[in-house]
Amino acid sequence: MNLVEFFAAPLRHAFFVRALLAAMSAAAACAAVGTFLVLRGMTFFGDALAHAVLPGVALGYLFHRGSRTAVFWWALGTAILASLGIGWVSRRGRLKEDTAIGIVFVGMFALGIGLISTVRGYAVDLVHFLFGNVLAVSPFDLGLVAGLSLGVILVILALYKELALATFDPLFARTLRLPTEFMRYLLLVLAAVTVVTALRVVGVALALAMLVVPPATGLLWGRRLPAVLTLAVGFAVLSGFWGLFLSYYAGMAPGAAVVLVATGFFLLALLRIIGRG
Amino acid sequence: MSARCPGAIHSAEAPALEVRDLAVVRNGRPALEGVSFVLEKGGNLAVVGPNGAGKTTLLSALAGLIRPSAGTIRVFGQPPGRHLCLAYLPQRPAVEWNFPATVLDVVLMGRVGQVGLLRRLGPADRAKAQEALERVGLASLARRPIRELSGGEQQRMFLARALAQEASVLLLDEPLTGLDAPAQEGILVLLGELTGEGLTVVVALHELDLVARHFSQALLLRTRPVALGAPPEVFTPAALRAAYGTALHLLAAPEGTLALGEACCPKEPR
Amino acid sequence: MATVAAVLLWAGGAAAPLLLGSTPIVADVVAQVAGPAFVVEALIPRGVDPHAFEPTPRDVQRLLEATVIFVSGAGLEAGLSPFLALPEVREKVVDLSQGLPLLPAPAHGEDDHDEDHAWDPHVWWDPTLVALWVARIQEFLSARFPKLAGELAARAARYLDELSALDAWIQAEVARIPEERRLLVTDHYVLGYFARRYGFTVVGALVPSHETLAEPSPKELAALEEKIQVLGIPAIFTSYETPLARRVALDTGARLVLLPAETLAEGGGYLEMMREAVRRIVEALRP
Repeated sequence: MNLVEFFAAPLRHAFFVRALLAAMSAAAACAAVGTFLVLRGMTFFGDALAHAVLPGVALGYLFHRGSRTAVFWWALGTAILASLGIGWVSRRGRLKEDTAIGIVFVGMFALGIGLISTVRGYAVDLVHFLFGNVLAVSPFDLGLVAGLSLGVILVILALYKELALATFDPLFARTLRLPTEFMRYLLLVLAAVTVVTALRVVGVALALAMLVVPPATGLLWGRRLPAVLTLAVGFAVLSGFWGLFLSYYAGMAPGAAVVLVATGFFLLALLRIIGRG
Repeated sequence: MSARCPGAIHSAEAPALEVRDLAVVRNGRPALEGVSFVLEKGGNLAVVGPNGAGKTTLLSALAGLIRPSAGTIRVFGQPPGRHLCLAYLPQRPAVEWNFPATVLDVVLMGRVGQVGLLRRLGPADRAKAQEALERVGLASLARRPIRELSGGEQQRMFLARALAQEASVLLLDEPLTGLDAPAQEGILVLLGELTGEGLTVVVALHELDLVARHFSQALLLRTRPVALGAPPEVFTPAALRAAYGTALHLLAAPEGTLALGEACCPKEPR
Repeated sequence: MATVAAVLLWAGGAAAPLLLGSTPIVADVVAQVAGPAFVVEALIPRGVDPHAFEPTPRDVQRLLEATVIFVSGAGLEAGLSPFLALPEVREKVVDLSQGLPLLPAPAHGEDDHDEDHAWDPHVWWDPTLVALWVARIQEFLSARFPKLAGELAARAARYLDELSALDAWIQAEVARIPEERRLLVTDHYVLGYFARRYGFTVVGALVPSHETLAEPSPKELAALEEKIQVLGIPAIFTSYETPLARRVALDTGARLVLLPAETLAEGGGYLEMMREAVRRIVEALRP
């Protein structure tokens, strides 16, 4: 098989092209938001949120049986509430954000399980209404994730210096009279929207991994935040691209393949550091 | 002056800092009571006292970070909440030292307030930051990642950030903690030069000997002001005992009186 | 057999139309009707829990290449629903449960919305319902491939005979269990159609739902254990030996009996699966 054919064969399928574009844009958005989460020590925000939306999924399913889109909006609303809750708990309770994440996450998750167990008659796994698969991306989903990705990156570019400052030294940001509280909640809401959309479009493994692994790779590789952000987004997009080709040729589940490629990049960056001493 | 200090209009004749009957209540207890002083432009003031005396509370209130429960604070005639020209350097800046940034990046953050939302930092901001770095003697380290700095270099970097911010009042909470003697001297000499250039400086300190040598005014604090004035007048055995109680050992040293108390323990209850 | 046919046709240069069944059970029934003129494959391979199945790009490609995709329906393939809703795929999906006399899922919710109930998807536990699948498959394929109509009709008729033989055999076997002992306790609600056809009563399920996240409430579990003991139910039927099932069996003195799950063993077909399951049920419940 020649090189042209290697790339052209899968690209003949519309579903593969959609999957490729969706994976790359979701990965870019996740990595951009994820860089700030990793810097703030909120690595598990994504995992927590994926569980915390369960009550929303349950209620969405209850009110609009079987409509994936309706369930998505419910999940999105719940995610935004949960992230505001995390911000509020960590502020009022004088707790670190990771502790607040833990508390809100288990509370919401238990509420979801409780709701499901009292109202019987759910057909199958509710989670399927939330977690998508990158190979099943519809044109609507693709538009959703591409728009999200563009929006996230525009917000981060527009507020870059304030977000960086509020992440590095929140007290100093306050003495500069910056709206640091607004920045905190903005970042949380941005992360919530990104995670829920990515969950729906590309599935759970891919979304959660892209939130952490490419930012970590960027942090190993780059010395300054602009470089770290660019590298994180770059590695994420490359992971999406090569991961889907790996998935195609190795007959591997796409989420797993993308995560494997991303982890490969991370190991490469780690070896590079070790090689330099 | 108003051009150097965006965010609030300065009254030309008003003193740099004017504090009247300041009181702060924290967690239901008075943390600060009846503090009054006036500091002219270019003046310096050292705030001394035992741990928990309210030094950090006073600086936070001056910075506009906490609200006084009584009394007034005026910075060039205006309330502190609207000033960008106040630079506050906390005791242990709660920053992540592994943050991917160079020294220049951090100093540039001092310009964020001036530049405003949705605008990018330009060459003029870079020039200001570079100038500030030269002023504190860190120009050669501009491109160094911040995690590689020593304690003294970290303090100088934050001072440079305050200069880049074009602050006219510097509020420093125990900036010498953890530094060796030459680094402490270096910072104090730099502060002396800056006040000579018209900056107003308020520093919370434990080292009474250094206060005596480098400051023209001292405020001895134990929730309430115990003494205020030139260091030799303030550091009398009676006043020091009133502030530090029996925890204090007074030593007659060549430089003057040394107070050996809880100076070892830098953390004040918040 | 389908694979052999596929290889022969491929060697001959003509591509046989690809028919996909969502599960191995659906694929087996489709293969019985379709015969060697078609390639019939199961989307979810044998031995794989449909809930744990994640498609690869090749699976999606098979969905695109397939001429027709038969699904069991009634919510069984919820995990595949985004794939079945793809614009290139949607048109080719035949839902075999459509028009069947379905049982509502065991819902206790008082505020159930009438028009879209959740249904019990385990229809294949009643061979007479599978016979309706066969009719549906034959009808659909004959319309699409009129030249093969005669052969399809003959194969369908032969398989329907086998299904009614199975049905008769099950009735005879079940007759060995006294009516008052025809009580079923399962891990999830899976035997509803079997119970309806052969006069059993489903007393309860350890996890009264199909939801994998669901946990039984202590009260419900206690009530179920009491029922098992009061009624003297000798066996609990389960697809997987879960710790919960083991514990309830231990508490109540009932036997744990494994039934085939929503998949087929290697080499066996639907008829063999049903015979084996019925043998185990009768063995466990007869005096």
